[in-house]
Amino acid sequence: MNRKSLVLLSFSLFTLAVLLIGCKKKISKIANTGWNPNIAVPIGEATFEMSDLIVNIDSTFEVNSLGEISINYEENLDSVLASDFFTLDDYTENFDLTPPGLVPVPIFPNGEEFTNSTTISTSYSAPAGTEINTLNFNSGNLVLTLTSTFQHDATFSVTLPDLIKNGSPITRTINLNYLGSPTTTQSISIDLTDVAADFTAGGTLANSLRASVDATITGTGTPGNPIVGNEELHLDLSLNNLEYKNITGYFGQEVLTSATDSLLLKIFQSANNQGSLSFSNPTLTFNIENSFGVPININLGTFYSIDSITGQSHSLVISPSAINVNTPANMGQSASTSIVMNKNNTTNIDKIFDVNPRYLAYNLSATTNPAGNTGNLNFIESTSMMKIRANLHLPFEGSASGISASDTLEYSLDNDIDLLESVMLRLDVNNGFPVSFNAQITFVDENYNTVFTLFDTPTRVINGALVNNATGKVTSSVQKVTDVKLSSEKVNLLRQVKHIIVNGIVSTTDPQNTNVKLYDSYNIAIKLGIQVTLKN
Amino acid sequence: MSIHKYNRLTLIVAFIFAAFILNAQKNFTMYHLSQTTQANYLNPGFKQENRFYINLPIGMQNISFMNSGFKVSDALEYRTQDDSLELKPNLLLAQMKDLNYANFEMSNELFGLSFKIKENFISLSVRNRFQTRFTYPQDLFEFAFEGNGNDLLGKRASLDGFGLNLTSYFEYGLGFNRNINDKLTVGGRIKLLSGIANINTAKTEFGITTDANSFAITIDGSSEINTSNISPFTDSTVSYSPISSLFNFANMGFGIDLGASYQYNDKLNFNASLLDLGVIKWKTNVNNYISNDVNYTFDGINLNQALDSIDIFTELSDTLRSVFKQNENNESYSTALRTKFYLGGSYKFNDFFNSSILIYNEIIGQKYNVGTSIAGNIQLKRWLSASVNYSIYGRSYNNVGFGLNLKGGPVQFYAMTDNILAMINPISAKHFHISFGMNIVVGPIKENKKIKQETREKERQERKAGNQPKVEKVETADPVQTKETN
Repeated sequence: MNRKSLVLLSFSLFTLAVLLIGCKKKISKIANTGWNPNIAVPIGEATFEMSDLIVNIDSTFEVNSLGEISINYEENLDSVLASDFFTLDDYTENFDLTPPGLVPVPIFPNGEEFTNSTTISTSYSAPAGTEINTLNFNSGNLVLTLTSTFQHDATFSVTLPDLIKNGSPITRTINLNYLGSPTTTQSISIDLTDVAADFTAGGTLANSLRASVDATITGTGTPGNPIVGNEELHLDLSLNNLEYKNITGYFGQEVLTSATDSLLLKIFQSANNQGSLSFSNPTLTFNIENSFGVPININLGTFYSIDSITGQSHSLVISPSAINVNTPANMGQSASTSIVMNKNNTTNIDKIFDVNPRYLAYNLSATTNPAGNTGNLNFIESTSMMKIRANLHLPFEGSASGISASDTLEYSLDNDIDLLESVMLRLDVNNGFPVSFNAQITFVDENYNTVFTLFDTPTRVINGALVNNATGKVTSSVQKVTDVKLSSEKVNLLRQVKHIIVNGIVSTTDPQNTNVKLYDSYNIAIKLGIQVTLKN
Repeated sequence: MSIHKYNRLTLIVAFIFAAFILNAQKNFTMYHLSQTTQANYLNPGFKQENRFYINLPIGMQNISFMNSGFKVSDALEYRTQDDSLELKPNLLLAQMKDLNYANFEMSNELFGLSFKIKENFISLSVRNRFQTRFTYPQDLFEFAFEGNGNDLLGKRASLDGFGLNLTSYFEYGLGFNRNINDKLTVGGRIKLLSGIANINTAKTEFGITTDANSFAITIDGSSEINTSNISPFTDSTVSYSPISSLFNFANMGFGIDLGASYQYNDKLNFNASLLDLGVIKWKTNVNNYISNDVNYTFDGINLNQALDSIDIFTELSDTLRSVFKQNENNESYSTALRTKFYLGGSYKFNDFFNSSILIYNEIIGQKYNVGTSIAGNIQLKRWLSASVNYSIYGRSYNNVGFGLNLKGGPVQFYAMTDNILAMINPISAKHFHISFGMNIVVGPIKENKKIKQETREKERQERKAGNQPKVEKVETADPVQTKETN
């Protein structure tokens, strides 16, 4: 073999070797693909201020100038109007005005007359035990009805000295013209609008109205119209449809009102009967606005919280239970009375909220002139009223431990989950509230049988912010990242889920040793992300 | 837009994606087979022996693909239990560098003519050049294959450098080659360029950072992309005919090639060339897209707004539109050609075998790439020569090139590849390359033949007299032609 052939052979072998090395075994079957990307994306973020949260719970929150948060439940316990307290009934009284000593005469000459003057006094039937001294009418009628059995004309002149209108006593003249009937009757009605009445008969009585009546009989001289001696004259006085502007007098010892009701405490609506809650500085205030010129005593019967789940009640010890209401000195005025109950003047006001009270129930009554008639005149106006309002002020200052709440959400799987290998939700919470939150989420089927739970046990997802033990104020927020993992098994079980029950347990920071305070400057920042592992 | 334009765009996109799985070469084999007429394109200083050539009936066609990042086989894992494969795209990540690129290049010789006047070799050529380079960061694939929830969680997924560079132009070349003396040959080519289309990713600095705690996604960075004559592919209102670019020089450019070959002694030769040094100024249908510095963090939807019944998606859309707003202008711009240079040497063992070594250097933008190749070349007959070579390029180490050069009378045919393994086992290759062509060649002058015949007669007589022949190089038109002397 010459050198040229040797080189050629070497060249060929090298080329062949290269080709053989390049020819790897071909495997055409690709059995599977191993593509399992893991995608992490943020779902959303939110920062909730105190105001954002409380508006969703209750609309009665208040923020004071220091930024302290409290709940105010204001309730109108009772209202008493003048019309509820004192009304004027209709009244009628008959007076006999027949002249005494009538002598029968066959003919009473024409133009001859005789007169009988008399003073009468009514005794108005005011409610029992009450006395009316003066009364200014807003409206009403005084009806005078005269009846005569004389077969002659008669004239009556009536003067009511205790009913003053436009500065003058009311005076009326009534003529009865005999027309042949056995009885002659004539009525007049007097409008009492803006009439001032004095029921004291000159300062000596009460409920009394006086009238002086001059009755004159004038003969007709007609034969057959004698005076037989048994003729009568009568006056009917009626007070109808009486409405007062104001009254003075004494209105007796009356039960002004008696009320039983309750306040709904919305904040506890979602609470279960678990855990303990303590408001360290609640205040219960009664505000009474009174324009009756009558001494009134309010008796606070009972105040108690009701746990609507257990039905247990927890009574507030109130001392004293009888409260004298301030009265206005003059008509047109109103007097306020405020009774404040707090931990300084009660023994257990902070305890009645230690349960989960959904309601605060009460009963109370009010009585007029508790000391009887002391000689001081009462007064009432048509616009007089008494309002009793209760205000429960619950500063968010205290502690809570293990307070639980739950909610049930409807759930249906609309999305295809076949591509999901596993899912992890990441909750990143930076909490500025001195409240921690433990959660458990239970996935149940249509019969509310548990399919699976998100956590093995209720898990802390929000840590309470750090608090100054002395002031109860937050010193720094606390961040907590919670990963909620749904394994592939749980992802598959989602198909059976029809409802999701969310249970939350709330506790304040260090509830055994610290009363925390809530301020409107607190906030909580929540970031929610999801990490999904896909499968091919 | 005409259907043809869509087809052309589709073709371009297909080529770009093909570049992921195939490879590209730099004509190592042709450089080693320097007696191929078109090797003059790679080194205009190669000594020219032929008196005339014309590229009929087909000129040089050169197509190459290259992907530096991975091979398809890198994503396949063998499973012994059922003799099958498992496709695991994430396995590709281990093969990638931080920044990887895929090239597709095509060169079509539309016209080639050369002739010799005394010692001066003049050449004329017209070529269509098409070059793309898609640069992709490893993190982009990691983001796609593994998502942002694995290793990228808490890190910045860097998309810096991500982008496409595409240049298409016609090249008119006038070449000159001359033997300075017996040892040194120099040559050069000046080129007038007419740009067809261009995408120039001048700058991309983008990153995606996923916060490890909240998964908030932050996008940062900026970019500048220049395009010319790309809008006709996407905007039917813009009319443009690439054929017109063959003549109108609306996007004019200039370039030069330089080369030299030095015959140190009978066996040792050194050569070097500098190619495509030049620029093109792009003026037609220019659209420049410049995005300002972006630093936007998406923390998820604003739940506060959602609770307030605000249309959060409209808000988000408006925000993104504002953040990622980009400026556009139509100012002309220039791009440099992909300048490259070769350094080579060869050692001649005997008349029919020599070995050569080659170092390839390329500058694309501000990036520098280097490759090397070693070859064994044989000249079996005057009409048959071949080369086998091994090369390293683009972080690929299994490239075996093979080339064949046939000549029958005046007809020269050649076909060569820089990586024949890609044709045999394409899924295990990063590079694919093929080059072929046919020329009409007129060899050296007949006096040489006469001298050769006289020489051979003399050698024959000397062998009869019992003397061993001695090989002596003679000056012929064909560098592998030899003369045996005593």
